[in-house]
Amino acid sequence: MSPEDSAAGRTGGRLLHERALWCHGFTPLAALDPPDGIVLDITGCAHLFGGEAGLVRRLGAAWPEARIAIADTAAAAWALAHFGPIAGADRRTARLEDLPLAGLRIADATIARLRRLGLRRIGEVLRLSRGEIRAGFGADLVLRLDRLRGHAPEALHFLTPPVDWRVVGFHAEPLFTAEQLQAELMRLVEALCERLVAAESGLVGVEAQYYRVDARRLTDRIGFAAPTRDRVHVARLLGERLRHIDPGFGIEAVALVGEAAALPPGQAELAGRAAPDYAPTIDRLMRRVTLYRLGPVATHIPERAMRRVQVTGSAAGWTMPDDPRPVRLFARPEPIAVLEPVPDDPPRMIRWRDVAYRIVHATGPERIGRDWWHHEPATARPETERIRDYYAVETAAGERFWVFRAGLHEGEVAPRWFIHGLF
Amino acid sequence: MSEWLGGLLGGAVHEVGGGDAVTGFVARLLAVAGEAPIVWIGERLDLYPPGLMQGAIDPSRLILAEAKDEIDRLAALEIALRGGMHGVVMVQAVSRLAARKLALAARCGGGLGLVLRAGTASDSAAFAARWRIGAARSETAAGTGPCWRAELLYARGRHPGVFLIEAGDHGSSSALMLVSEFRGAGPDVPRGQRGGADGRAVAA
Repeated sequence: MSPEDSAAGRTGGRLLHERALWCHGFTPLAALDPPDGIVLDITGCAHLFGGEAGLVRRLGAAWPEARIAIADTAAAAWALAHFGPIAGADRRTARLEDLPLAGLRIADATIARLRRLGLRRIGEVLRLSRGEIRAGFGADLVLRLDRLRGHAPEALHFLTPPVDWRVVGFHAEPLFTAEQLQAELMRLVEALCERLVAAESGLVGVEAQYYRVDARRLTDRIGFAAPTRDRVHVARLLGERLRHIDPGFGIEAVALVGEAAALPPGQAELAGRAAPDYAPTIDRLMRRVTLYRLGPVATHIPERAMRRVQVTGSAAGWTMPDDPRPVRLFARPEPIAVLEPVPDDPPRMIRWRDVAYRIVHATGPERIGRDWWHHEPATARPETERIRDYYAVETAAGERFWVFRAGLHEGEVAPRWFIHGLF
Repeated sequence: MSEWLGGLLGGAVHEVGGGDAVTGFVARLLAVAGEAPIVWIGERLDLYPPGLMQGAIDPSRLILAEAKDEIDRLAALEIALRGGMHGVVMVQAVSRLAARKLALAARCGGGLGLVLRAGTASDSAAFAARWRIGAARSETAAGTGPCWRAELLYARGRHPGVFLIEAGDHGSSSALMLVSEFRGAGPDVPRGQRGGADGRAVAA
């Protein structure tokens, strides 16, 4: 029996997997039917949701775009969902017989041959004898028909539900003090880590949930730079935030919800301190400040050549630039006034933030244009205006600036100068 | 290598003051300091990885940290130093207590901590060195990297001095090369004065 989810356009395998897991709310047996289907075995489950009609209603409410069908076998449900009347709890095989041959999930060549014999509906094929079908079209079609009617078994790969990394501690007498909460956290972390050791997993994130007696829930989430099951480390990170937890009239339950990843038992104790492990330090830093790394982006536009990546991610892939680049780059280039006696030459004087600098040396120009192949041609502003000529200039006092001229002298608009970075 | 730094860089915290030229100098100081990850802490950062790469820091070593509160920024540097990383923090000023805590953390972890102060200099003796960095004209011909006039206002166990320092070749281990030194000169050596009677040239 299978509700089918033909979520048009949103057929990512990940999405499908998530939805199939969500179906565990209805039945423990949910299987993927890629690219866009989910098969549920609802044997003995439907009555919990108001019968089959109620179940279909619930699924339909969650996914209005899905085509859902219930039938006695997975193959029949598949055919009904794909080719049957839209929605509805019709599970009578009589309807199945009206479906086109494509509902049998057989090769196009076989369908073509059946059509040449004047067979257009599944029912017409079902009326043929097994011997005739086997002789004419091979054992595969016989098997398909048997599966449709439930005469042959069909193997479905049901998903294993994810492990629930949740531990809860209830307290008849509410907790008030930070010491009580710290002790409770330690106890829960111990319990969680024991399970993690058994499963050879580590936490990549954990959420502490504090349930107050006035029915409010306070949460505190932490992520880890690397999977860990170090109970002292986890308890300490959670404990650091306890002073932000307002117990109000008391906390009657504390829960830890973990998110786990595989962490094989290591030999850290034997390996000694060969490679320093910075992950715990990063975890502690994440509690105080916003952390990120800068990863490369393949573009010539200087300000777009970097992007923020998560601190747990990798920022590798930078290549050494051939031309000088500043160590600080302004998010917005700041306009400067220049004195340039000769067009297309570096400036002699620049004025930035009301201070005048005499330029004694300049490296450049390095011409950087807009990546015009990504843009519609602009009519309002000519393309030449977006061309930048960069110079690394050195002032009389030794300051080094990265300045550029936007636009060309022969253009319609006079070029403008900006400072973009500092060396 | 940069022997003129004379072992100032291991497990120590330096205070660095100065203008816009500080960032480039600090990046190269960290490049000399060692291979550990670098945490750069500020309120808002505008570091540019390609430029840092030319300053001999691999951007994949770099972790950027932003926090509004100065207390959080100093605490983050302490955590990073204790964990054995190098760290840079941009703050207004540092109290004696904070300086002492940072120095202890650096000694534990063995990394180099750099406090870039915008405001007044600290009077703490916990810093292994105090710098004032200014830009300087390059000695050599066109096309070389940046130069700095680095005043070592205080250094534990050695004389203060004023140095003219040049950025080394891209990718080389000598990210900071001493061009000349005005040994024993006070912090008010006039700008532009090069290789005076007491100055000496050092090949890196």
